[in-house]
Amino acid sequence: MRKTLSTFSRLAAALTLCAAASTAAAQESGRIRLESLDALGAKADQAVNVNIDGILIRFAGGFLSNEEADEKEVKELITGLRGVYVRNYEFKAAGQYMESELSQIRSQLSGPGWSRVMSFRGRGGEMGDAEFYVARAGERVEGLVVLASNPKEVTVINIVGSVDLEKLQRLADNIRSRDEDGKPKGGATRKP
Amino acid sequence: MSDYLWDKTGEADPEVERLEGLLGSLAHKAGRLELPPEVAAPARAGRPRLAWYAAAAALLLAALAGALVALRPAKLHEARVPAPQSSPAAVPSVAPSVTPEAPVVKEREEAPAVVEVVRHAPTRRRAPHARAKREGLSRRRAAPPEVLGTPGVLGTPEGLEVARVEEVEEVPRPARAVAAALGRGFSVRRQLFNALLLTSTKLKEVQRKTQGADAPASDERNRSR
Repeated sequence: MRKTLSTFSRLAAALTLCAAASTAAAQESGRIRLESLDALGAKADQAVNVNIDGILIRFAGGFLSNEEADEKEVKELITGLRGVYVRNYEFKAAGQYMESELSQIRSQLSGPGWSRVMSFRGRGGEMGDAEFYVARAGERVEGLVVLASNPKEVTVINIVGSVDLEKLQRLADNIRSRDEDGKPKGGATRKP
Repeated sequence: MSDYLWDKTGEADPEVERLEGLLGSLAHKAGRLELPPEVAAPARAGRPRLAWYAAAAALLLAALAGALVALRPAKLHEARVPAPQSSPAAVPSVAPSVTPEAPVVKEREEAPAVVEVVRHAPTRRRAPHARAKREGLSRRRAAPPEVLGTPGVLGTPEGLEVARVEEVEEVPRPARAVAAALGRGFSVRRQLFNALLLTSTKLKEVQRKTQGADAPASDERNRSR
């Protein structure tokens, strides 16, 4: 009986170790946990919640055409992505959220691997705060986080994987310069 | 007549006494049952071992199930194509954006288009065959005409009903799944577009703010020179 018990305890210990190892591996580098922001959703007037992981990105990639220039560019852009997570909360009035509610996000970003590239502190004014963080593993960009907040709005964007920011800006400008039908808006010319 | 057989009073019948003597050893004796050692030993040894094995197996299964549930990637969960009737909460939601220039605002207006695609798919029938046969006529009326195929192929009305019901049960499943997958794919694609646009907008905002913050400082530097 003792032998059985010891075998069983060894097996249980091995299982626990396996589970712990898998959980640690599942925690992707370049990704931050955004669950702490969920409480803001209840208070917000409008909430945007986007969770697109690697599988969904590949799935969506299948729906992007190689013929349309924009879609082709998006397809190229998302090739290195492993996830896109967005939380955006807009409040009716100022002071509906506390700065401390963002502390869990900031504490993750102060951890190893993350570095702040740009930051702006509006000192509680209407301009708000804006920060841009990048996660690096050697020379490789593993993810980025944009944290923008003002008294009436909080936005946290986490892109996991490598993304060409110049290409993203160019693509966004192209999309914005056209209306819903794809025609140039106000005679704006499309950038190559 | 004697009450001997009732309560052992009175005169006993010799034949009864003889039988009592013969069968007396087999009468009930109050006390604990004691099995012979060769039967009792394996039973005593085996019972706890079996219980331990059962408990160990149950714990192992529970641990495995727990580990599977805990480690099941959320990705698969999210990638699963939802049923068209599912609540909007099941689909990652994109509510109107906060930035006026980003087209995320249009998401809610565009969303019904996806739902519409799914709604056009014929509904799945799960009724058992006999029930379907019984309700064949009403089902036939409810199903879209292109699903029913060519009428009168099997000749008899009964046969025709069954054939039609079978087609209604079989055909829509893949069609519905394809429509749902397409709807889901386009929805995710739109969300991805919107998320990237929002990212770009916010990045620009950060850049603008930091440049705006730098500008007065540099002006002051120039002025001091």
